[in-house]
Amino acid sequence: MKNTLKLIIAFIASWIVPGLGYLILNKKMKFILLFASIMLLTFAGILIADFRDIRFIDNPYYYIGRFGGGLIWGMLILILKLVPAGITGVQYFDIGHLYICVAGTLNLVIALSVFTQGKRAGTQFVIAPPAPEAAAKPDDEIKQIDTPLTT
Amino acid sequence: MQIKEILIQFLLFTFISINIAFILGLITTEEKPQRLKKIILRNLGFIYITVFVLGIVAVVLPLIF
Repeated sequence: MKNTLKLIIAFIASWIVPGLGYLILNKKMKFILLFASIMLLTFAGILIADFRDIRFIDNPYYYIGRFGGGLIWGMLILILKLVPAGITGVQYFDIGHLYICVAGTLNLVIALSVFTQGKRAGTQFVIAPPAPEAAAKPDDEIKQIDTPLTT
Repeated sequence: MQIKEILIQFLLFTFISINIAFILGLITTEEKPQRLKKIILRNLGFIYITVFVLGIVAVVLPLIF
């Protein structure tokens, strides 16, 4: 139960901040690399899209894709409201929005992988210890039976 | 479509595909973080395939049709 709760927290944390779930599962290096690559992808997307927002009518897939990450979503709201569009002069808006959509989708994949990897590690931990106890039980019983007979 | 535009688009798609391959490779391998070089080297093939396929889809197909 405690393990499941930890996994759910890791999943939610991973959704909010890319790869944070790995930090909870004591995988520091993976967290750093995943966070850096997702953030790089998001910032590159914002720059390529020339700080332009996308509406649901323009492209529903790209619009939904941004909700894959909490930080990505929040950052987009902040940056797109604060910075006016048309600074960089780049004309590849579609590719920029694709970058953001891919970053969001990959973040969801990362969050799911944190959940599944943690679950796998947790079940291994639960299954592994009972084996020596089960093997030790018959010997103890034999000893307990043997001792009264010898004394 | 000009050659310059094609090249820029190809570079942009190359960058995104390398990033996707890197992240997916990092997730799927359960190696220790010290063996990162090994992971990257092992995923190079996957990265090249992704770049190749995406490059064809993004650049060559619009030129044909």
